[in-house]
Amino acid sequence: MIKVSQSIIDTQAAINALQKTAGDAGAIVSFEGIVRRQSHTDGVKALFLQAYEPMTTNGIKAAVTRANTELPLIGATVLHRTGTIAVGETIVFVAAASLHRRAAFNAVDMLMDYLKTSALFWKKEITTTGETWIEPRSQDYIDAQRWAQTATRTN
Amino acid sequence: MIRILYMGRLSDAAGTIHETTTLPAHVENSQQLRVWLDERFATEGVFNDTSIRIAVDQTILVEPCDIGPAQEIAFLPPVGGG
Repeated sequence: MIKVSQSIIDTQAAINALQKTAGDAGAIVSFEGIVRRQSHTDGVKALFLQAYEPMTTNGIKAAVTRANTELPLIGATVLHRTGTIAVGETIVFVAAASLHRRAAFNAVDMLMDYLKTSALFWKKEITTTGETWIEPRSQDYIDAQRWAQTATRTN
Repeated sequence: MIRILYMGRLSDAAGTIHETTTLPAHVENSQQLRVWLDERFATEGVFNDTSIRIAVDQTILVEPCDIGPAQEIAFLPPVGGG
């Protein structure tokens, strides 16, 4: 399941739903990203996330298809919030189901790198002193590059 | 008429997230559109930043590109989700 919306993410329900549809899976790996108080600046109250639909969702679908082709997977879930997300709330949830654990671990890692550096989201920090648009850190691009190298090796 | 979207920090520069407008006759490609918007919003080169990509009718294009028949153009600064 792939969903970009303002709705609160129920991670346990998402894991259960994936498990139900991934009957042969021997492994399910999940990751959730949570809005933290301390980021680029102290005193973060919330994040504001903007998407450009349907391009944002279509891009995530393509990334899941790529992960599925390279690993492969039995199923995957990507849930990403938009709008205002308060400190402590889940902003993103990614889970992958596979026959053995390695593919599921790699898929979640790969999909998070995609979401951090390439998915069409724009993120603004709302702090006690104002609002600032934030862009990926150089480390995020370095992380994402690992998968391009993997793809080159396997081609 | 064309719909233009200003994503992320560009919404601050343009003062709006989207608008529907008529392009001047001399604006026929992406480069001319960037220059026109930069002058219009007095943003001192913000729209000429090459890290900002353009999606024409929901497809990111290699520039410079024609925008003649486009219905929707989105300016996409560097992204960051998760």
